[in-house]
Amino acid sequence: MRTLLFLTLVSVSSLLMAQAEKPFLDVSIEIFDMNLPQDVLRQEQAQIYPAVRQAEARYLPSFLKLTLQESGAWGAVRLLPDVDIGAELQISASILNSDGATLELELLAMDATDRVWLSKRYQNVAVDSVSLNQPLLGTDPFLYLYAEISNDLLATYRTLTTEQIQEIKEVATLRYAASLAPEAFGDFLVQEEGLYRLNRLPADNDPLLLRVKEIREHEYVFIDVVDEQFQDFFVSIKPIYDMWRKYRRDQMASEADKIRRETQQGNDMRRGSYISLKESYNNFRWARMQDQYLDELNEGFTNEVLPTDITLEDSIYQLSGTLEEQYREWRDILREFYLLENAGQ
Amino acid sequence: MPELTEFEVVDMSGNWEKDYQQSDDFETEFNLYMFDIQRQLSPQPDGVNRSATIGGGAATGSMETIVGLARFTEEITRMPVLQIDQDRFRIQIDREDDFALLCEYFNRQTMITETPFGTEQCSWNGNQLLFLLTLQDGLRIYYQVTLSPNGQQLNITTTVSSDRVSTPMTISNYYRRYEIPESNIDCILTLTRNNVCRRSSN
Repeated sequence: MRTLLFLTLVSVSSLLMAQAEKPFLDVSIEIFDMNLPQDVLRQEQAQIYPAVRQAEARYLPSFLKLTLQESGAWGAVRLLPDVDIGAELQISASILNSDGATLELELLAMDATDRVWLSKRYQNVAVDSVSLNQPLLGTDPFLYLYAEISNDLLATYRTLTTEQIQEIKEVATLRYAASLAPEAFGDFLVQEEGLYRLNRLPADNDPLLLRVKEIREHEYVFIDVVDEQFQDFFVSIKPIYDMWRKYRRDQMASEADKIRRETQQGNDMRRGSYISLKESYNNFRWARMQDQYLDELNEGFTNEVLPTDITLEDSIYQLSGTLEEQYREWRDILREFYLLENAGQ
Repeated sequence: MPELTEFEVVDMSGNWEKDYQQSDDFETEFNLYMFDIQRQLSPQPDGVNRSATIGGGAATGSMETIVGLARFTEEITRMPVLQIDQDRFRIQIDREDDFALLCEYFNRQTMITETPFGTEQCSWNGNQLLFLLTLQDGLRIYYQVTLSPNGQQLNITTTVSSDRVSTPMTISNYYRRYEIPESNIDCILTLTRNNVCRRSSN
């Protein structure tokens, strides 16, 4: 298993080396859409646990981020609580199914020009035996799903010319600039056939553009803080989440196995035997452990909403609310800051 | 004497390790158990063979089910260490590689937790904490948790029964306290920040 993944990533890296002159693209991954049914009854029927799904919405993109970083094919790979307006390559996904045995994602990858790289449904069955030496990457049962996404992204990247990649980077900067100051930057881009194109470029020393880039750097400060939090979350939650998924798989396998055995042997044949007692106990044990894991996950979310302090130009801003709310608040602050700084220009 | 809570429940909280010297030796208990079973199976002075009492009268109290029950009992009573958290309203007994026994008590009422695979009941009987698991296929597990008067020893007596074997098996384990070095850092688990820790105020 290890060799397979290793070869997969190495072969990709080798291909990249052949195109080493191409600039790297930065990747922004938005936390995944939970795809949680509103109706509690439907959640129960589908065996979706909101606390787990909420954790997965952060955990799964964290793993994708690690996979992309491991491939060595990208620039900065960032995980954000929301869509990144200035993303060079934006990845979004919705969790269609995640029950421990199967993971199914609807994934969309678009670059800054709105070119769709991937719009695809990925499905993978858990592989228990995956084991790499790398502690974080090595133990996920859906490793191959992430590797497939990584390879698909690289396949698209390879089809683009250096000029196209460069254009994506410039469009990304100008889209971000236009979000801050549409009146100043709105006409640098045009839309043709649904894609953003460069209409003209600002001068390299354009003071407004330089200011925009500074603001962008400030946004990265927050993103880095958030990113660190996501990383911490990933590391802390991984053991419990892995265990939860394993129990879910074992539980499903046990139920299926029990039905099969009962069909083959008759219901009463093994009643009272060690296997039967063990099975009864394990079923209960799984159910209780699952409840207890959910309680722990819930507790984690309850404690999560702590304020973040960020320094901007000698002032300390305290952001509160969920990370998503904090991110929006920070962007609003930056936008106001930019407008104040450039008032009258 | 251990401190009593508002509901006059003994405080079992702490870290506990198994005292193997005082706990039942499984081999010995198993032999006694088998001896007891054999005695029941043997023809009695009145000439009645009581084998019908095993396996609910279906003569299915076979060696497989008897040994199976014993083997199963041995497995679930290993529990080398326990960590018990307790406050005025609940007690949680964490066991290695197993679910935690959890009891919430309000005026000593019985708490019942239901799952599709069985129920867990708990209650206090004086200073004794009781758990009863009623599981599928006629399996019942009964835990009696008792704190010694000086608060330094804990006894957990586990009785396992199956509807296929007339005689339940009981194992008694003793635990003694052990201390984990105290930290002056208070941490709470958060999802995105891992553990958020701060120095204790004391």
